[in-house]
Amino acid sequence: MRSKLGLSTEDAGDTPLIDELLERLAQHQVDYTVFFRTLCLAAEDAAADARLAALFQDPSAFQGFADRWRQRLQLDPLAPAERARRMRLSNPAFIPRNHRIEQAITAGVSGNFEPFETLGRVLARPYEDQPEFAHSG
Amino acid sequence: MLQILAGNVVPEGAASIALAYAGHQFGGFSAQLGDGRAILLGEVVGRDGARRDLQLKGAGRTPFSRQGDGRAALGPVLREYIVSEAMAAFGVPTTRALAAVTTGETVIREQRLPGAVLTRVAASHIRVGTFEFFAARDDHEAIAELTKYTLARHYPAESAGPREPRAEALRLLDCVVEAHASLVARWLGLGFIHGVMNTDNTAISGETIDYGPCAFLDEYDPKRLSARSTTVDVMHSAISRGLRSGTWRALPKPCCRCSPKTRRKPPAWPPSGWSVFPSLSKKRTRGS
Repeated sequence: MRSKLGLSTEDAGDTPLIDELLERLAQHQVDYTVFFRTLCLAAEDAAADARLAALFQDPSAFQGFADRWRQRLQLDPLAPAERARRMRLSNPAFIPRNHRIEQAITAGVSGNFEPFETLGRVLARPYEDQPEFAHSG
Repeated sequence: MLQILAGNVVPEGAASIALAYAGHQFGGFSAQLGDGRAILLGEVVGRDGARRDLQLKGAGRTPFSRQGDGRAALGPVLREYIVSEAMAAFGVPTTRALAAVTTGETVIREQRLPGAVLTRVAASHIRVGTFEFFAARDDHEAIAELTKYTLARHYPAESAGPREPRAEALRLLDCVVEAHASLVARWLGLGFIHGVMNTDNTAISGETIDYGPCAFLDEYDPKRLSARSTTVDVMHSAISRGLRSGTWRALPKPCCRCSPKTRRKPPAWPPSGWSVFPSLSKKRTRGS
């Protein structure tokens, strides 16, 4: 979980920080994969905060976490670009979402394996952004 | 080749078998389970020197098929192919899908569906339930032999050391506990829900196996992560709870039953020096 948050060191406050985040994600029904992938951007550029806040039913719920997370990042030696690079390797851009799998199966059952092949290609590089498939997230 | 992958022809030199095992499933113990629609073609040693099992899923009836036809529908075959290959791309230990072949036959489930065969490649198909099979029959000799074989195949570094059965069983248990703690932590990091994490689907190698009703979380929901409570999902969900409450109560109880000769208190959880969810750095994050 530390690697998902971009932390390369350990601190006693990490568990409460993680707990708080997970609680807010659950409470605001935030997409797990999209949140962490977008957080990689925020590690380099606070301008991404607005995109993260928009994932929450109440955008202000993100800010409390963001402030504590940034304070914690101050204690961590990684440079922002390196942190973001490592985070992208722990936070996939693509996962096999059930509706995509179902689409691929439905098409396959009627003899069209194109969606199955496409899904397989995208998921072969899950940690890369692949903007051409961004809509398949 | 296609004939082999479709399960029509057994390759030369192969002695295909269906495996027997036992398992704790959904809270109860079944002493007699087995591959009802999977046939182990044999083992291959890859260019990397690793030995792997080749198994056909959906190739027809086996002695364990009971009322089933031993066939697989295309849907579940494609699902396992997609998800297991994605798991491999994530870098998570998993069985792989080598091929999916439609058979041209129709299988009858709730409806008529096209049939297919999946070729699964696994580090092995030895599971916790394989040990339980012999434990349920008090066959200590078989357990000792299986333990020795499994240690050598999956944890060769632990193969050396005292050869007394009890010592070997304990070394294997520690390896399997650590491998599965690591595996489940990786799943949680990705929001993966296995769904049928019974002891017959718990590979001793530490690979993810059996992609039946699995799913990835969309919105984060800890209740859903632990909702499908089956035997080892209890461990899985207890890890999520432990993460939240800061306590570790998850104990892989079935492991303690695996060898009557090694009954003892379960090992410390997580194993000392091991950090479960927060990272996979193998550094201690808090006292266990």
